[in-house]
Amino acid sequence: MRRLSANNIEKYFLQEQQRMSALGPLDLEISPGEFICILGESGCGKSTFLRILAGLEIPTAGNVSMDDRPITGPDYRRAVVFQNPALLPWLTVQENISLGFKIRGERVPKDLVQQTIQLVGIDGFEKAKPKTLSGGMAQRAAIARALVSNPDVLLMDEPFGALDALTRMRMQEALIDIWNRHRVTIVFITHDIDEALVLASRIVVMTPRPGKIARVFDVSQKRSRARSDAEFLKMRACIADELVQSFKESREFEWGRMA
Amino acid sequence: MKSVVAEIQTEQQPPQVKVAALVQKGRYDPIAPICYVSGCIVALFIWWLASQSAASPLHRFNPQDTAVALTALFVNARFWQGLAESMQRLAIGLSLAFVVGVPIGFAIGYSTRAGQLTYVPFQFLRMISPLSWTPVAIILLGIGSGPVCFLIAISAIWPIIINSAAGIRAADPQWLEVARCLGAGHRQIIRHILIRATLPHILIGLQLALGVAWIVLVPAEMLGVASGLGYMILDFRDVNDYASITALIIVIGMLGLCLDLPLRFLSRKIKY
Repeated sequence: MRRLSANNIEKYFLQEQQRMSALGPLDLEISPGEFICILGESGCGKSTFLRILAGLEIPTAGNVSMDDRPITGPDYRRAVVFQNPALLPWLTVQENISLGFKIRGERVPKDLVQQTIQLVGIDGFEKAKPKTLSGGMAQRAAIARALVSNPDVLLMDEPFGALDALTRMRMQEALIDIWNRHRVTIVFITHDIDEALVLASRIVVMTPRPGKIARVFDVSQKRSRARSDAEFLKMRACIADELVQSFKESREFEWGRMA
Repeated sequence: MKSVVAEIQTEQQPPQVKVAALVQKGRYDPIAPICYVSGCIVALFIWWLASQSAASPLHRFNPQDTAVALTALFVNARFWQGLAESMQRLAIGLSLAFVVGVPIGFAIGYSTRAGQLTYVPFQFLRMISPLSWTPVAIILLGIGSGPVCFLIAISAIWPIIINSAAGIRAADPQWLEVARCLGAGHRQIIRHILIRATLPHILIGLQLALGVAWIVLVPAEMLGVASGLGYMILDFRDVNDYASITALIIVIGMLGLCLDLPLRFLSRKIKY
């Protein structure tokens, strides 16, 4: 459990010889054990932000740090779960989950691997090849691969985006369960308001071009995560309004520029 | 086949249903072996038919005499010695192509610049018939196995380079990101991801290389060596032993077929 902080970070991309600002300036402090959801429409820079936290991309300006040490590259203590499972097709589920230990030249803790497999609920599929798994099963294996190294931070980039609605709900419950038991810090990217409300202790709403934090919602008080709960629905409406407002503003901005 | 039997036994359904289902999935095709065998029989029959008339140009290469010559060949010590030498040259030439070709292919697949730098020279060299190197090879390496191995290597290296490079390019970039996030550096990425990810492509390259090498081997042995399968064909021609020439041709074809099989099996096995 570590403290993550992003100070004044910005990310530019070059597009047709022009510097396009994709992200920031953006500040965010993530406390140990927090479950934070970053909510925003497609292309709002939320994935870029996550990749910067992971160390897969370097911000153009500003800095990100974990426990006051700057993040300069990927680190297995910040595990990443991508939108698609990206399991290695030539390895079995079990071998995929043990991959981190093999890569780092560590002894594979067989008991821990087995426990993790049970935790995500894919026991019985240890010897299966990824090709034979359903989307939900494969994503569970990817989560197990991230969890098994006992990371301080779990970075998840729309991990349930490709799943059907029912499987997604089941996976959300499984993830809450894992978080309750292990209190690992989770940064979870999504464009689904309900998903954010069900999972997060804090929701960060982002607006696009360039990606900035529009508003932060604290949901930690409310632990009854029933979707019919009055508090849930109220907050849902609030967040929806915030998002609509944000893209109305950006639309007006674009129209204004066109005129 | 074994797995099909096992499935039939473990399932409670009647076997016919299971077989039908497998046929539909394209995993088991009971007609296939019959087709393979009848294709061979038809080909043999056409050869026999075309060579029976005394007026036929193929008369001297008829299957009956060939069969007799083939049995004689199998008890001929010189044949086995020549075969062994040919195989040795093939192995040396292919190993050379593999050892040099795979790293070059990896470099080309890994770095766009390496690809750009080598593109024109390699396409140019690739289009030169390997046999045109013969005089150069003989001048540089002298008479003997050296030039033959060189010609095999230079013809086999291109498919190996091209397919190794394609293998690297086909590796999913996300696999590399996953490995990096799990703590992999360049060495671990190459060892745990790239080598295994490119293995199917390398095997396809090797399969193609073997095919070209086997084709080049025989003419290469007709130039500048005094042993091997190619040399023996010329030797039999000099004594007008047509049946033995045909027998050797059959042997060359069969061996090529047999050499291809294990690679084909392997590449089916490790496909992902």
